Amino acid sequence: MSEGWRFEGWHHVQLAMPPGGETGADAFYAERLGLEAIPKPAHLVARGGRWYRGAGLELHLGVEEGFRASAKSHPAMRVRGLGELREALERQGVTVVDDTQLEGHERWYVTDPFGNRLELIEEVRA
Amino acid sequence: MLRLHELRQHQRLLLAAAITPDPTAGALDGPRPLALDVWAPSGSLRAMSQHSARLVGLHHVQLAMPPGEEDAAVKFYGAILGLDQVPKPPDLSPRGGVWFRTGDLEVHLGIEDQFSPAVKAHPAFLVEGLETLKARIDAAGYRVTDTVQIEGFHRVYVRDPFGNRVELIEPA
Repeated sequence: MSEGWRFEGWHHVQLAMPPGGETGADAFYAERLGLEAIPKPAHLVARGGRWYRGAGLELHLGVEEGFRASAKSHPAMRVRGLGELREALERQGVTVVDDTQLEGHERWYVTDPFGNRLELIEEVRA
Repeated sequence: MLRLHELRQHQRLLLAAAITPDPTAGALDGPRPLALDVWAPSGSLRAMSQHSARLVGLHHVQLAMPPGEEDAAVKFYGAILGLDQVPKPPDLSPRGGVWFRTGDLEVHLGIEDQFSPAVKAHPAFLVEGLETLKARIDAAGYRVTDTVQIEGFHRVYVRDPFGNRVELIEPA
């Protein structure tokens, strides 16, 4: 701990979406990426939005009036079976975008139904 | 090294070969790739979203920043929050930006020419010693904002030098 505080990891990452995007969010994050939708705390339900959880990761989709998609900033989610996920997404018509690779990793990007950029990444052994 | 998607393409070709009748083959008992169930086309038993790939955590979170502001990023994320700056891989460094890491947590600040801050979307850093960190951020001239609390946690927001929203959260 440096001088009285330390970071233990990520609690969650919140992405924005337009009002009424919950169904589209479920179709993508739950059905395609396999995350589990979890209930929002009762006092936050009125805001709309959806929360999802996977192993070691929690993703919140929050409603934003005047929403603009995040075309640059993004969370990078670690995947086991990245190639298989790519095949599955491409079969469903999701566009997968390659980028410069990181040493020791395979990675690519997709955008969610709202245009938010997501990175999917897996460590690979040489 | 064979890239994963090249490997998968190869597996798909194997599957296609296994499905397409080969007039020279004897019968149905020929070898089939082990990955057959995984690569069955959509509409079959393993259709659409059913796949065994799974998300297992966050590798990093990238936030955007305007060009030429790396020093401000280093001051906030490095000097104030206490994250370690890590070198960007050489083939990515011409893009600008700064990467930070501490423990299992990695934050990338990436350059965006038409930058506008993320005012709603944000990462939430899990912190031990939130009060100390709040005081430190406050002393550096940044405003720490309370918000609706979540049961079992104490959380606050701060905006980075570029206006990006950052959540700091600690188990109560």
